[in-house]
Amino acid sequence: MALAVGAAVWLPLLHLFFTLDLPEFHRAHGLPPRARQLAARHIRLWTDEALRAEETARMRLRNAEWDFMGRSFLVWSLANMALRDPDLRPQVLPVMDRVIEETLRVEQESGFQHFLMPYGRVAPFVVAPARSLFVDGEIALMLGMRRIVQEKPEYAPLLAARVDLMVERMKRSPVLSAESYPDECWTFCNTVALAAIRIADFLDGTDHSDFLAAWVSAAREQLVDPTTGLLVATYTPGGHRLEGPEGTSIWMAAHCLQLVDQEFAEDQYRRARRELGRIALGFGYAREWPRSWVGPMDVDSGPAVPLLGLSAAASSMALIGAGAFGDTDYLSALHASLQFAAFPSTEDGALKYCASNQVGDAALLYSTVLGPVWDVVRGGGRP
Amino acid sequence: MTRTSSVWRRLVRDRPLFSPGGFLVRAVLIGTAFLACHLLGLREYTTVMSGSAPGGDRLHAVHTVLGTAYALFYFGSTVAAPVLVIAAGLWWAAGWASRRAVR
Repeated sequence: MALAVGAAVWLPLLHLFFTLDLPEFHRAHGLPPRARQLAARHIRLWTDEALRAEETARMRLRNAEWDFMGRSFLVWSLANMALRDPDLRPQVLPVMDRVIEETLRVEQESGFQHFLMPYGRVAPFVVAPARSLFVDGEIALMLGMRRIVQEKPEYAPLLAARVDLMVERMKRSPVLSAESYPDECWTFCNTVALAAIRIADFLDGTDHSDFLAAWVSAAREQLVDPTTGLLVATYTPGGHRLEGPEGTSIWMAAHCLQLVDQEFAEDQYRRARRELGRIALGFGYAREWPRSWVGPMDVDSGPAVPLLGLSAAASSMALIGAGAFGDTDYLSALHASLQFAAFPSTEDGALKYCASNQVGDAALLYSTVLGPVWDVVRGGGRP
Repeated sequence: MTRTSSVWRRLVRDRPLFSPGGFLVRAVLIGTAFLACHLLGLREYTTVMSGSAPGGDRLHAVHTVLGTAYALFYFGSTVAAPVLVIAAGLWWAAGWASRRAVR
């Protein structure tokens, strides 16, 4: 009895010890202190060769994708940081260029498959020649965001060429989607590609608005799960659904769709929040799968906590969704969970979450700074 | 050694788990174990929760054991230990109130 009362008293209070003030990690203008601390570690990784080699080896041992996505999220974050605080440009632009150039070099020398999981090599891609929209889309978005902060003429033809390639391949599918892996299209990768295409239109005066509208129309008709109304995570280039909706895909997809179709993006966020987002005892988390569909546990989803369905990977992507759509209650609750269960550690002003890894921390960094690049593109003016 | 086991017996073994003192002692033990793990630098090993190993190493069972031990004692000291302390306080207060009422 005493234990039950003790639990009833303590558990609802626990989150208060881990809840941060909102401006610590989310601000409309300026740089949140948490972002500065998180970025410090990533910038150090790209300026200290030994440290970076160790971190890259660590990522690639588990999943080659993480090495690549860590780069993407970092460049996307630095672009937003540079717009939030123009004084940072001299510091972050060289890091962005270093990451981009190193990534392009590795892609050229070792092929795009260097950044894919091993199953990317075991079967032929349906659309020849083989390319992965996962790699093309994220590199295009890196190039586009870099150019939004400050034009770099060498990157303009690289972005244009990649956008042409992506659009040409996507148009060969009835659902206007290209493969990330053989016979496998991912909503995450296709929406990242759409955001990159939209940014290229903004920067170079091209017009893919009909294509973007057609993608949304095809997605509404063929890529939406009938039970939840959420976009499914994977499907074949022919539009056959492989898996249902997933937390590790939908939050980022909704964020990217903000550049393509705001109303559809908001609808997807609302549904994801209802189906996957949870707050319990003041702590926020996200499920990987809705109650109506449970998919296979894989390296993306990570292990899900039984009963709650909590996925750490989906929860970290939910931070991006909540930040992008200004859902501050959910965002605060998710940050309380991070403080409580991700084991933050600060050393020399650099913050990392011990329970996370480089790609996880880079995604967290992105969630704290996203917004300004999207605002520039939607506003139609130069920063 | 004899003195240590005598203290252990007096504080833990001879004290019923379900008693105010039993709860309090267990809370202190959990907190002490967590403090020891923290001072030994085991926080870094919680990276096993993301499927990675600390440093550039391959993930070994020993990393998992150390990371799991840290996480267990951390959650024990933030979730379970305060509940035990509150429960001990309530139980002791209830006992004190009933003794007073009898007198």
